[in-house]
Amino acid sequence: MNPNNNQRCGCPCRPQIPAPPCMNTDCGCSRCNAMPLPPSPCMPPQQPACNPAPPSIHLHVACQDNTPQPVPAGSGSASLQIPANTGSASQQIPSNVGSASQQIPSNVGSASHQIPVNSGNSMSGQPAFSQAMQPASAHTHTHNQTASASVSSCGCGSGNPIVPDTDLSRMPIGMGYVPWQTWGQTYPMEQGFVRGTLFPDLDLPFLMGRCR
Amino acid sequence: MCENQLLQKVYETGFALDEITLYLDTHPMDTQAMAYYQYAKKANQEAVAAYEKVYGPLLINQVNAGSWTWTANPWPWEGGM
Repeated sequence: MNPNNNQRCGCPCRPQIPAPPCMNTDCGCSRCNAMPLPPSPCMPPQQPACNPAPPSIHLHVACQDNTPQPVPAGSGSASLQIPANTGSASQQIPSNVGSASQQIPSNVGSASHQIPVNSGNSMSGQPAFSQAMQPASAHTHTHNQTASASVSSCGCGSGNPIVPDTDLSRMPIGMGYVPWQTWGQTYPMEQGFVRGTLFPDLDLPFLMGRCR
Repeated sequence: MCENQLLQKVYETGFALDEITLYLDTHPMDTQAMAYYQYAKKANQEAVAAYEKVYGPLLINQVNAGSWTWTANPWPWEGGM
């Protein structure tokens, strides 16, 4: 067989760099699709089933600017959000993160934080969005239920398309994971422009020096 | 409102539009974000219209007058924007 062809299907789709024996070099052609996958000695260990046990993980949170800022929503979040106003070097993720049964509620928080779908607000009036900066005890979260139709990473049907429901400590190493942003309060446009972000949750200015 | 204030409003609403665009890129099904996008888009359009009404077109595709008003306002080295 031509060394430049794929060993399984014969198509000229072989990777240009030498591939390990266990690497699947199929090109997706009809011949590849028709052939059963060979046993691979390099397959990663079977992923554990969804584990509702909450993870325990420490994360470093960027230092907070101590200058007075408009108060964003409180950090009592039910989602995988790292509160923006911790000021501490390490942060324990809330224990309800990663739970298989944890559905992020779609309407948490006060009604004044609800943003209407067809607001039709103009700049001249007081749009409903400016109410988002009123101090509140609860953080408004929404989890669009239509998104739950998308593929869950582990297939357990939790509805969250990105955050896996497995124990974080059992997730593959060597990979970076980013907490998933959910819709919450927003700064007024004038303030967002000054802060460099529309979202208080993302207002994390870098300071010189290290956290103390 | 002076030119700087009108232009500032254009910048602020334009930035909000950029921010919500980035959010929607990763949350395309979020209805609340979509509602905010409509709000920001409208605010930006109004801000641009308010500026252009007084100081002329901001973008090349906004020249609506019968004549070529694009070069009518001061150039940057003449104190214009």
